[in-house]
Amino acid sequence: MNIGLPGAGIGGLYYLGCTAIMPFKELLLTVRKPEHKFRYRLVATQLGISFGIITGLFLVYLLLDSLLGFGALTGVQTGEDEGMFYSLLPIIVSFSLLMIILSLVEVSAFFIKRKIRLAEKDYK
Amino acid sequence: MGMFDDKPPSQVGEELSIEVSEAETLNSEMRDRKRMCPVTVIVPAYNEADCIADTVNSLLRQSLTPEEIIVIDDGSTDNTAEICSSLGVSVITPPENTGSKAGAQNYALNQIKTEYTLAIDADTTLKEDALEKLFNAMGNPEVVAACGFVIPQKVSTLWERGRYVEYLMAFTFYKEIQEYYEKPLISSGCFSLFRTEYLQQVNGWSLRTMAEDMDLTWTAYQRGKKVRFIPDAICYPIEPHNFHFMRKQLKRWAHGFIQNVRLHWKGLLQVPFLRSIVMVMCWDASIASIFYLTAIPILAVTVSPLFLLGYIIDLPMILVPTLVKAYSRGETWKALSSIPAFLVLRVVNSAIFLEALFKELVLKRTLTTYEKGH
Repeated sequence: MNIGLPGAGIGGLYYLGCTAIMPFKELLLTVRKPEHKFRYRLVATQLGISFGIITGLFLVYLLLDSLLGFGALTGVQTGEDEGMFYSLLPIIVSFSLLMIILSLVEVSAFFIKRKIRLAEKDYK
Repeated sequence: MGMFDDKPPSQVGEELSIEVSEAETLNSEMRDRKRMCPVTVIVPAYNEADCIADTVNSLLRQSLTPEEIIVIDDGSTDNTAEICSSLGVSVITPPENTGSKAGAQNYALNQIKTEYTLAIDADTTLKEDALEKLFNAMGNPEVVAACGFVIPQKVSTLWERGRYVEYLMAFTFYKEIQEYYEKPLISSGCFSLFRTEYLQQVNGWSLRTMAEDMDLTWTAYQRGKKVRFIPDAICYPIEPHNFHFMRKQLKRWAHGFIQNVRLHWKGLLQVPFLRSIVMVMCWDASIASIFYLTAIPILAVTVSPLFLLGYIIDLPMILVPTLVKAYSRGETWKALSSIPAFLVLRVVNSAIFLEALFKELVLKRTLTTYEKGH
């Protein structure tokens, strides 16, 4: 069951980030819990997929750049630096959005927890 | 394991063309086998004569034998009940149509005596070891539900092809990561194994939303329980084959998601990782969908037609996980040729979600009628 826009949007970026954390989390688990076995296959597969996605996106970027040039979308004649800014803009915007949303979620979670704790304290 | 070992039984040809008498023999043999597991399978069915035999036969062929298979004939007007009886499984009939899959499942719940309950849709077949794989995942007492990898049984129409790509991508990439972080978003309604005690504690499948599987999963997390996703446990449902049925299903899912977020939001905020994926999903499904359906065409008309590339610019995000799974199944070409169908399905999915959002939040018209997806 997928809702809305699987693939596009910041969801994809979020999962790429989660994959990047996996090897470190796995390493930490292995160090902390001696009985834990490093899940090489799972981590390698997901990292491989993420690497493939990032490479693919980079190739798309190169293809578009070679076909259209950096300023093609905006219709503005751009210098190399300005063009680079335009080409990186979607990534910067998406990443910033993701960070804002995740921060908002964590702040909301903190306040809800606090509210519940206070309510429990009052009840006692 | 051979390349084609995990094809849907219905595609393997002779595998499911067994005669009724053979199925009866199989069913009696089933009870004599040693590898029985304390599982009752419940199959809610409403007018499923076309596919129920395939489902029951795939259950009878499982490497682990369930103690009982119960088909809930929810007021069918075709011969669903007769087919099931001829295959030797139990058939129960509520006094009147319960109105939803959840209603039919709840009707069966108080008859279950086993430790585990397998809920499976009447149009869903299983790979031979699917039940065994899920059963093995229930070792930890904190695990109350486990679900498997979903692959459409039939992949021919535009909608089935779109769904095929969507599942390959989502179950290979998203769901695997959710499992790694111990928070699969949903224990799929079409094929999930539950601890019966948990189902009884939460009074079964709730009727308060249109996505009872999501409700059940999120309730489990809020109670500190665990849900597992087992990628090797493969099931093959029949997906909507035309726009009429696909629209019904997407509408139900979209409304169900919104209803569950409204119902659980406070509780969700207490569950790390789950709260992030739900929030990101909310953003992508609403704000990103608005951008996708309005801003891109407007920019394409007013600034440059090149903005239409926005519809396909994230192709690697879809292609890579899809092809990784498709290649391992020997279905690379099938997956590649289905990508355009997914792009169409994605647009429709976005539009239907926005419609559902408007109805639920602005018009306050909550969807309450369950409509079958095929």
